[in-house]
Amino acid sequence: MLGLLVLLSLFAGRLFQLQGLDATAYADEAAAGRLRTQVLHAERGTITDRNGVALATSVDAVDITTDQTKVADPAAEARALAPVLGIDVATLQQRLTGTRRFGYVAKAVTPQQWHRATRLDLPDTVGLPGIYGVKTSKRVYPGGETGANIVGYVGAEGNGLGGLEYALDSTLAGRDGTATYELSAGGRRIPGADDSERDAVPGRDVRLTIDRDIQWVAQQSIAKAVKATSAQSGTVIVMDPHTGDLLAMATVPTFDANHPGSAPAAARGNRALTEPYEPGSTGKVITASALLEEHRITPETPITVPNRYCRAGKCFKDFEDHGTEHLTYAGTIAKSSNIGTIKAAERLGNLKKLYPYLDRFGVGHPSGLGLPGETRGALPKPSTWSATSGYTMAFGQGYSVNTVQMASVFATIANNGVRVAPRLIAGTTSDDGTLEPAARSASRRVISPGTARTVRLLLETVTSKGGTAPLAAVPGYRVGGKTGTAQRFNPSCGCYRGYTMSFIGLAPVDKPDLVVAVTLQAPRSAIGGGVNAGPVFKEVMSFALEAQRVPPTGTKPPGLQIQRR
Amino acid sequence: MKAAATTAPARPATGARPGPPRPRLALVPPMAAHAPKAPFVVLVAMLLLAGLGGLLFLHTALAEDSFRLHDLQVRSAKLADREQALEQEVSLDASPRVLARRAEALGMVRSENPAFIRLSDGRILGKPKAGVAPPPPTPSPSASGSPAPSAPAAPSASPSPSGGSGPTPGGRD
Repeated sequence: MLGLLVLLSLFAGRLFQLQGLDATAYADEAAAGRLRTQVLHAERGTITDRNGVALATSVDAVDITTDQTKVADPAAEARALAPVLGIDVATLQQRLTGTRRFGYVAKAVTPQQWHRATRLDLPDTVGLPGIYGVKTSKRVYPGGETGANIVGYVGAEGNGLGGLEYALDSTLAGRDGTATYELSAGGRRIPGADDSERDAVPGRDVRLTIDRDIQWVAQQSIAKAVKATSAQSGTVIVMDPHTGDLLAMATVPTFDANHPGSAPAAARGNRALTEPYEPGSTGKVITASALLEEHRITPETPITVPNRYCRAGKCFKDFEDHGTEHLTYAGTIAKSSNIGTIKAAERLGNLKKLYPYLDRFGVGHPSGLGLPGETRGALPKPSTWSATSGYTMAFGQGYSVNTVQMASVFATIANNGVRVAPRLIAGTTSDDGTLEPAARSASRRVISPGTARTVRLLLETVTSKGGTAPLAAVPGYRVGGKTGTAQRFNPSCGCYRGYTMSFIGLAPVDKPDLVVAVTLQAPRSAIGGGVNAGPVFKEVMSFALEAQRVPPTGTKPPGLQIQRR
Repeated sequence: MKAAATTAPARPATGARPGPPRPRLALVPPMAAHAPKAPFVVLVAMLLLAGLGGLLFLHTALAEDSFRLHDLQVRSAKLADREQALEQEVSLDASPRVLARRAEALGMVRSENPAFIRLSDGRILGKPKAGVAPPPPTPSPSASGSPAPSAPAAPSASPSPSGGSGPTPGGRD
């Protein structure tokens, strides 16, 4: 009787301890067993072209992981998985064999592949033991190489590492959220139980000014030219001079943004911005603008061009030897005579008067596009100029630019003398999902509309029969442009070695809507900017005119005199 | 004892109060009929049962919804995956690279010069010119049969315009 009493007292005591004293701890432990906290990944914003075509987008994917200690038969499981994952059996078997509790079998496979993998059975098991799926997301670039150097790429963790993916990472990334809820043994959510959720904030979408189709044509065309001339690199820029919108910015060599690791670092940057070069003869348009704006010359002004012209202890020559020629000023542009340009520039009185024009056209100033690694080029201050600086700068040597800056010079002339800063981003989506257009680019008058019109007529002579680039002409259209074959400064030897060949032009001359700039760096088998860059210009300009629906104006060129009568 | 003595004189005082005749007190007879207890008990029991039943039903319904939710979520996820996969396929097929390759396989060529028709007066702007097929890289049997009539496949096979066909007039830049 007493024994029973003691026993019951003990039970009562224990009951009190469990229910009264430790109850909360046990309840918490139980809840913790059911509670799951899940990170809700914020979806990275997409990058689209100007028409909303995706250039970079995120899709769901699954990382397949393994607990090697739970894998019963690595060989059999590898054989079953191989056809689903498209990985060979030996590699898979190696990844499944061992004693590690965690390892990756395959990263970022499609959800379909994972569904199929979960339905695989071995003869004596249901499902594959030791194989797990972890939800993740994968960045895909439907264009592959198209626009890769602009859009950039992401790293293994999904963070931007190159191009706009890097520059706009904070806009695109968004903020991860969390969800906490109780899960039954069967993996279903227990209704009515505690749960809390902090929603993920998706990243914003970014719309570029790029037109994917023009970008593709530009990239194809420059790739062909780079191959044909064994050039080190090449770039093409297509620009709307009125808005500053870059419709295409193609560079070669390039890379597939889906597999950035398989390309050298040099191919992943954006050479149109990172590579400074001396523009050469394309720079003569700045000299022409200065002369016309200061009323020192007209297209008909006669200029006698000898074979050699010595100034400040240095004798200048043209690209090819020639006898003394009697040209008009238009003729010196059409034939791209260095001596003719120097003689014309001397009419400024002081060659340092070129500096404000170079400066106002944007030489030496950053483009403002915000892509990583941009060079602003170099424009020496007049106080540091040597005796010959003014002469070489008149024909585009002695200062450096990137291709975007040079395209912008021609866009200023195309836009009747008003420089509209180039831009690459058309807008971003706001919180409510609507597109918020980017601010209009800053614009500034550089030369008068009359000067711009006259410069364009000078440029038209370049693509005419007597000019340096008849191959750049687009039949049916009035096209103006300027060839450039500049000596290329090589930083590794500190000397001039090789050439930069370029053609930059606009169309239609009397009402320009498009500017296309083509640059070939260090071509090994090339003749000149007109012959090698001209056809690329023609192909890209033709396509861009068609794509942007710019009809010919139907006017007749005035037919400026090139040779003096 | 003392208390009795103190209260005792009060009684005669009350009794001696003058006034209306005191009403006669009589015992109320006990209630004749007791209300039957059974219906109340049954009512409470029924309410209890109904409450329990309701609770059970609610729980079952919730649980069932949870199952349904889970199944539907799985289905929705699968459909979303499928949609995404199909979208990727479409965007790949719509990419310029694939379109250009398919068009070339059909014997199409790029137009040489852009040209427009003005609808107001039917004028043709620009200089339209039939595209020229580039020379086939290798004589493949599949390509030989396909050239469209619009593309006069020139057998003379002039290389692309970039082949430096023209001399460089005044190439001095």
